[in-house]
Amino acid sequence: MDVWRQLEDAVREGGVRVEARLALLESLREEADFAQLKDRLDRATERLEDAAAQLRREARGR
Amino acid sequence: MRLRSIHLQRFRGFRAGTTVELRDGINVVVGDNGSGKSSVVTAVEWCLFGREVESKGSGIAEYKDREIRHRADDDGDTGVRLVFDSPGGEVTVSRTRAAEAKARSPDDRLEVRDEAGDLRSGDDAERWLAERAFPTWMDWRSSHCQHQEDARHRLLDGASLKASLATLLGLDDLVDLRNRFDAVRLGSHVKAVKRIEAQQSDELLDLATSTGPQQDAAAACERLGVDPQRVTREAARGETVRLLDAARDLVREQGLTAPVPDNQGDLDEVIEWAGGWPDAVRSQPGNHSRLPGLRQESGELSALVGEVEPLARQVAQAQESLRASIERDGDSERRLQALADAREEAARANANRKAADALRSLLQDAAGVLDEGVPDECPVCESAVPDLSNRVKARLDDLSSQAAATLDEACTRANQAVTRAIGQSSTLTQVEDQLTRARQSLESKTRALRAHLDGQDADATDPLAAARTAIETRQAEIARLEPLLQSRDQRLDQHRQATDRLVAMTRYLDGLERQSTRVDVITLPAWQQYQDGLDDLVSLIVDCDALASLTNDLLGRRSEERLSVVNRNLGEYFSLITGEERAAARGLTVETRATATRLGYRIVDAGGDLLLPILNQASLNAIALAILFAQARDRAERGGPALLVLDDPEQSLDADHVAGLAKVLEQMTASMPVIVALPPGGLEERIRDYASCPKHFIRLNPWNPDTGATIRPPSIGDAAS
Repeated sequence: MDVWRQLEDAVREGGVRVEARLALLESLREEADFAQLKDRLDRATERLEDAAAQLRREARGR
Repeated sequence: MRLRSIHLQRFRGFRAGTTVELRDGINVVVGDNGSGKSSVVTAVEWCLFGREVESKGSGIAEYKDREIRHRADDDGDTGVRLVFDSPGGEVTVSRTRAAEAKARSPDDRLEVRDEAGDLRSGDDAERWLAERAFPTWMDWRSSHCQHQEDARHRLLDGASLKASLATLLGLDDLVDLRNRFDAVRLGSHVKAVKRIEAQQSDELLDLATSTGPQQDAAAACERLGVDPQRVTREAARGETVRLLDAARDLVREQGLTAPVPDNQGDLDEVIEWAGGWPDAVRSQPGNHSRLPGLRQESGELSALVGEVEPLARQVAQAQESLRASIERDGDSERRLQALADAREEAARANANRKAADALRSLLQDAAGVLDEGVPDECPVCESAVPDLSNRVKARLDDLSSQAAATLDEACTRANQAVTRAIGQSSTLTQVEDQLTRARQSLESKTRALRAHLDGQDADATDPLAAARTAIETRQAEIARLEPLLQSRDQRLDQHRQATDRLVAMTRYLDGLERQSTRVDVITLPAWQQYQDGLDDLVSLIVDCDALASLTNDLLGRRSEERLSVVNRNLGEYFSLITGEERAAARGLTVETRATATRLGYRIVDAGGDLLLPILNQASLNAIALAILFAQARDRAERGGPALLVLDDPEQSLDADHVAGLAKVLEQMTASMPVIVALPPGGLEERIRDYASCPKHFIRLNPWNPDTGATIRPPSIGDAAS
């Protein structure tokens, strides 16, 4: 059976964040998509860093 | 879909166009070393995978960078064309490299003509091949083709062995997917999240849950005598001003230059300054620095004064003795005169005594003469002198009694007077010498004393008095400075205490402010942005991790499903090649080991121990071939073009193994055509003489530099069975 199909079934069986994980799985079909996933993780980490810094700045300003 | 022919044009050893016709069953390409039999195998690889063969090699070190074009023919295109029989007709796959192209040219032209005669090229051709389940380069290496040296390498290299076993277990796609998840490096993002959360916790979030620092600061205030209830910014500012004023007083009093911030300075900066200020003060000289010098000068002057004072008293006493002596016995001139007079008197007395002694002696002589001669007649002139003898005796008696005593007494007195005068003169000399010595000592010490005095004091008429004054002055200065030094240390200690109070108060106040901040933080817009960012990233990480775990679970499940089949196939081929008994003794088995994140595989013996490290080259070759056959059969059963290509597989195999290998190849022809490149003899003879499957021999002529590699016309013995 196709590996992607098997993973989709496993995600549904898990029943946790099914929609999000199916969407993520769908976005990873091609090898290049994994590079995009890495970028997405990097960007999310950067955004979190920025948000944390902004929060600290605002908190200190109080 | 079966490969029917291979057409080579200026490819490696082949110059002119050469077609290798293939048939069902075993196709044996036979030739001596260098005749071009491996080029036939490589031609299939190059046509299907192009630059992969050149840049990544075909698994054999010396095959890297292999030249594709025939060196002698550089004026025409190089190409390989594969013709496949398909149920719908003929399929042609060709790859061409233009004559002017450089090695490893990206301009190689891949073309596919399908059963309907439609022509595709480049990426379209690649896609068509993928859609029709043509093998990938990895598939080809694991399931279709084996170079013998490569086989051993793949068994002995851990990563390559795992890859081969994964393929054998049909896990390629899952392993590839798991590797792609690994390449995302989720762990680094998990670390980043932890780091960011820890930083936030340090700066903000711990305030919401921890009052420890606040309590510590309150306790510190109480220890230092500050009531935390009374600690305010104004109180801290007042403490700061007092601390700075005290510091300035100390600077002024001590004559220092240690800088003190102004009262309006930033509190943190003041605290930082206050911490290092005592050291700065102690490192500066200040007024009290004169104390050691003053103490030394005072001590030296006191010592000199202590030496000069008794000398001065000695001089005074000597002077008084001299004065009294002169007053009593006169000065030296008078004493000399008295001595001279005494000596003169003594001389007279002595002379009188001598004269008396001479007269007595004369009278004694006269009395003796008169006694012997005429008593009243002068013995000299012989004249008669009345009562002369009695008169001489009377005179002698006078001289012998009173007169002699008087004369002796006068002599004694005179001599005593001389002795006394000499003594008086000597005494005066001694007194004068004592005075001289005392004066010399006094002058020497006085000079030393002057040398220790400053300015006018050094020339003072009374240096002793000047020295006493100087000592008093220095003692007064010492008395003034000593309390100053004690005061500095006391005040620095007070400064340290004030600093501690200020630090405790500041920490307490900061804690109070942070307490109010932590309430405010969760109302900030940035708080929600931070939480959203955290949720997004953590969700993405968790989802990726979940998919990676599911992939690993699938790996485990699939390997479990296939393990028995794989082991059966592997054991079967290994037994065929090496003989039933030896294979059974070995107990060749693929074993999997699953962890939460990994699935490992290895080849073990019947006892569960690693098998490969103890095997010889022949057995290693046999296992490598067994793995290939198992994979090839599995792939053939799953559909797609079936083909098995072996280049010189009999290396290291003895006659029994060669016979076993011939049996396996014969068996494999039931599932797929087999191409095997061999030198004459050995396996070639075994196949020729014993294989009952269809067999076709393509014999190559020995290498000829003029014609290149060429195929010999078929002989009667080579006819297909």
